[in-house]
Amino acid sequence: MERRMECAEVYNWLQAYLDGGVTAEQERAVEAHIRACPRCRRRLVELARAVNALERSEDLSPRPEFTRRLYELLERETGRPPGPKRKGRAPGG
Amino acid sequence: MVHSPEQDAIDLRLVERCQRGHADAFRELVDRYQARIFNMAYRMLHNREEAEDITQEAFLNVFRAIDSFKGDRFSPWIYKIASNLCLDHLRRRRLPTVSLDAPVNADMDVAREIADNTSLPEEEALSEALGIDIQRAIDSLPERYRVVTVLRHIEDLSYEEIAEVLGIPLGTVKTRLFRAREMLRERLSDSL
Repeated sequence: MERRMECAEVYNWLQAYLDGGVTAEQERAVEAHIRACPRCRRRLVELARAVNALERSEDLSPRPEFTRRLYELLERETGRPPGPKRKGRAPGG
Repeated sequence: MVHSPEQDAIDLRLVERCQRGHADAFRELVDRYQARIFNMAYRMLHNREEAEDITQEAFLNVFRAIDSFKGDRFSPWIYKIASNLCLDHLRRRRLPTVSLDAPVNADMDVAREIADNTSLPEEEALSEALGIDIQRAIDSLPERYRVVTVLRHIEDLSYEEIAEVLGIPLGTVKTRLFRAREMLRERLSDSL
């Protein structure tokens, strides 16, 4: 009969399981463990919720004037487009 | 994973065009990466102005060094530059800048950060939209855990990419990520 893994043994696999980073054998072991262990099952659910909250959080963009200012700074940097022979030119002109 | 081989190939073509002196190619790199780099910086720093400053500095550093770029993938390079800038910025932020007479305690940074981030109505609205609980939970992570978490779950980088970006072993990436998620689980278990 297969030995039931201890919580501490399964913990890293539990974490890797969230990323799909376990082998098929490890996946079976994790699933067998959480079926039998309510504490680890709850922990896995809470970890998954935390990960989901992170991944669902809204993406942000810089303000439109940011891009304009960045382009201006890049032009000021060399006074010309980026190229292989900028050495010897004083920054900013 | 965010970056497919096709996307990497497009990046490399743009880098080569930059190296041959085509200004429009750098603009394309800016367009491709500015939102991602800004988003990472915002999640790391929780401050829009600072995140824009770091994003700007990251692109200027990339621009200055692009002639010497010889790697086979652009994205880990720009993430490395930007994440180092964020970590340096957080270290500098920790340095005391207040009067020597003022009491120094662990809450000071938090109090200042909350004040910083509630000073503008726009920032308040933004915090609300982003889910303040999750951002506060990210803020509470130690920096070395925070950066791994943001790269993995906000930027969608793989363990291997994070190891490359941060220059740390794969095992360390996992240890830090797992510890960070455990901390987030503990902090968020009541609110999620």
